[in-house]
Amino acid sequence: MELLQGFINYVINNVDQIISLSLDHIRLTAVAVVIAVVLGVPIGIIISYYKKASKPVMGVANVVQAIPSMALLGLSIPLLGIGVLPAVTMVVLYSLLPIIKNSYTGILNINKDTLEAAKAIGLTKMQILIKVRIPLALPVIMAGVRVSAVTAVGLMTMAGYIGAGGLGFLVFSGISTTNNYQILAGAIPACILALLVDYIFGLIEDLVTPIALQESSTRSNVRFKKRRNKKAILAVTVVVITSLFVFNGVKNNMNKSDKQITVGGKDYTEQYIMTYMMSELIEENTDIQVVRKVNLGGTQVCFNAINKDEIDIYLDYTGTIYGDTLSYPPNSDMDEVYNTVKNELKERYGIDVLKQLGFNNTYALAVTQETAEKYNLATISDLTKVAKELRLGASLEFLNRDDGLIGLEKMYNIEFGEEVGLNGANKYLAIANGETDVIDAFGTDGLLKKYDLVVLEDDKNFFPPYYAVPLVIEETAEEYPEIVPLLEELADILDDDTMISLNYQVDELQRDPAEVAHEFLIDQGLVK
Amino acid sequence: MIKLEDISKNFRKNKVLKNVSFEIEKGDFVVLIGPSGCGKTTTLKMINRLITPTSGRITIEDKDISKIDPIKLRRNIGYVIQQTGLFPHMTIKENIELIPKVEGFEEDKIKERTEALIELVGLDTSYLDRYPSELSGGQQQRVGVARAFALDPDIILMDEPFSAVDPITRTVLQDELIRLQAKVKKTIVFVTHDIREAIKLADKVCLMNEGQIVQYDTPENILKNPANDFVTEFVGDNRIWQSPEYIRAKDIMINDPVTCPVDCTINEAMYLMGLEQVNTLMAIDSETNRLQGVLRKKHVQHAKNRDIRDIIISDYIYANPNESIVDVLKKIDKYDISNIPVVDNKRKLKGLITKSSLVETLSQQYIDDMTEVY
Repeated sequence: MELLQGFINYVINNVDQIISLSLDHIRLTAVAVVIAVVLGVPIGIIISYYKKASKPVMGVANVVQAIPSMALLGLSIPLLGIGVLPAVTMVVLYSLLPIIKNSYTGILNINKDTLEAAKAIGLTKMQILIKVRIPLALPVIMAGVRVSAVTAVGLMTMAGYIGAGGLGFLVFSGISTTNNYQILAGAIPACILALLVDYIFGLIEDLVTPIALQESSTRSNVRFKKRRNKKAILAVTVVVITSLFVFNGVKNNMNKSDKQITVGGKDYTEQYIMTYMMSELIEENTDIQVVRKVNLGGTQVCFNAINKDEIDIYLDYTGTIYGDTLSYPPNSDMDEVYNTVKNELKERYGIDVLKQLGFNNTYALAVTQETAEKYNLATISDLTKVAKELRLGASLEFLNRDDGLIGLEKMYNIEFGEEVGLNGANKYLAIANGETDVIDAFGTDGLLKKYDLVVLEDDKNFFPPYYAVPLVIEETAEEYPEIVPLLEELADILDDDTMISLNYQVDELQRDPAEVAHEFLIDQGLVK
Repeated sequence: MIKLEDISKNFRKNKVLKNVSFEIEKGDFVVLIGPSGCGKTTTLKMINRLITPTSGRITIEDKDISKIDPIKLRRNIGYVIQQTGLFPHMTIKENIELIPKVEGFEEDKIKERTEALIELVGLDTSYLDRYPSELSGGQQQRVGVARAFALDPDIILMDEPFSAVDPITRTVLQDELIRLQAKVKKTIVFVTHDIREAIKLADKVCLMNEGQIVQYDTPENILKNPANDFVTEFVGDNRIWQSPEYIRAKDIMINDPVTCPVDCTINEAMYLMGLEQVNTLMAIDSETNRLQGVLRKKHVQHAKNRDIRDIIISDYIYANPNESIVDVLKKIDKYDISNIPVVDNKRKLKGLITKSSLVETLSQQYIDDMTEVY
């Protein structure tokens, strides 16, 4: 009951956002399905004529289907960047198989006598295809399109992961901030949308089936009447979707301003807050318009995006760039790390690294109060002695990084009884439920406060510095020099504790990250 | 019209047709028949190039069809198969008008022609807007025929068109096809495995076996003069009794009836009747062998003259040698006579059919059947 109440409240408060994301979702899905049909049907038809090509084509389509969507998305980012293009590309690739398969079998499985009659009365190959094969295969082809379209609605939620919007945005945001209402606000409309799509395509399927082939005992005039109703529903749908595109186009044209930059951010609370904070700071103090691309996935997505000029600014961390992007071995020297990052990004990528902010979002190990008391833990060295009895629940990233568990094991000679890969907020849920004993955390996680966890001191100074640094494309910094000092103002007013409390407001108090950022900027007198 | 010269066809190593040659005259209804696998359908499909011969040549009006554009060729040759040949997603109208529309004929003319065609095959124009599945098998078959006639081709190919309809409908369709053919006089090539259908429809039957033509002849000759045992067996014993119209007067007449010269005396005639134990004499002109009249015993007994000329029946009922048994029986019944002379056009006596010779002939089929049983 409480859940329902909370959900209803969330929906009422965010109804505009939910509607706008739903419309985005419909637009993206429609584009993807149309492209998939335009590609898939001809491919299916062609391979039904050139049988030698059918095996390799179907093989490729099958393999694509088997690749996890996350992986496909990850692979497409270096090539296509972020945003609508890779999202639509991925959904198109997934939608192709059912369409190709059904077009192929539909075209092939037509009664041999009918085809022979078509040939014998003197139709050319093309005429047979257009007048006989395609009309007769259409119900089968449409069944494939229907499957694809419904799948596409679900898959398109992945678009939220790479900044293309849609209902997935709510789902991913909800997961990373443990906001169940937000997850539901994304998932439920997506389900409704899927059902609607299934219904609409069911109508199309019926309509393209020749009356003669429909299994129905009703009299023909009743059938004709039904068809008329179905046609009316379809026409309305087409008008609605078309107007969505037209409206969007008009809106985009009106909003287009000469001075526009894009600020991106990764997929967790701190990044949400900082993306909104940087955006608002710039927008309120200059005449530049800012497009906010929150929730862009991990480092790889964001760095690729800025490298391909799809975003102008995002916030990263010195240690991440040093270790991941530049592939240096872990280094604990804060100044050396910062200077290396600053110089090399400028040289190799044409990206300006601004002054580092005052909070260090490095790795930390945390345990519950009870565990700390039970084993008398204060430092990681303390933990080493009892680690064999404990279960570690850590992010996949931490388990696989040299400056994560791999390096930690060497430095402290520590070994855990069990290691479990868990991402985001799930780590906290697991330790709170007693399913794990130790987790990795980021120094500024608001959830540390929420779950009242004890951070163990890194007494051997193993974890490298992960100070937040705004990255700006060189050209953008040159074109709009005013934004650099603005962003550097943040350096002095943010520190670990400030950041933890900002994160806490979102993670625990379920407040809107944009609101939290806005309030902070007002308090600090940075915006009016 | 259509000439097949030395046609062979191999499917892989399988020789389907072996040096087949025959010619189809313009306006002929030719039925290809034989056991399954004999090559009849393959032969048919070569005429509109659905199948290409491995060797040999097919000409239509002396033009080698391998040099004609197949699309053009096929549009000038009607094609009818079982009802599955109609396009299920098109209405009857669309089915019939498909090719005329592709050919770009005028809308008005197409409409006119379609309506004429649907009536020609015995359907109402209200059927035009229906779909094939809404029609009975027989009606679909009529539409198939109408579609084949759409471009008014000279040649129509029919591949077992009536095999999927019930026997009663089949008979009706066959009768209509005969009626239609009498009207339009197309060159029709028709494939069937039903010998009754072949004999009923064909001007000429082409009986095939194992890729070769066994006999290419009129139905009557196929029935009466089978070329070999295969034909006899295929046609079946007594098949002729299912087509009595092919039993002619000459087949059942007594070839040497008892005759007397027309100038003989009554005494001579009476003596002859007694000698031959007959009640009727054929009075003929000795020189020309023409039948002058029929002399009956009852007339002789009450005669007063010594010459038979006055008592012979000179306006006798007669049959032509080629008249069918059906017609002969009708005459016997109508005029209530016990025998009927068979004469040619010049009234020359050829033979005599008597009631007893009829009984003998008619009982033949049952006697044969009996011997088969035992």
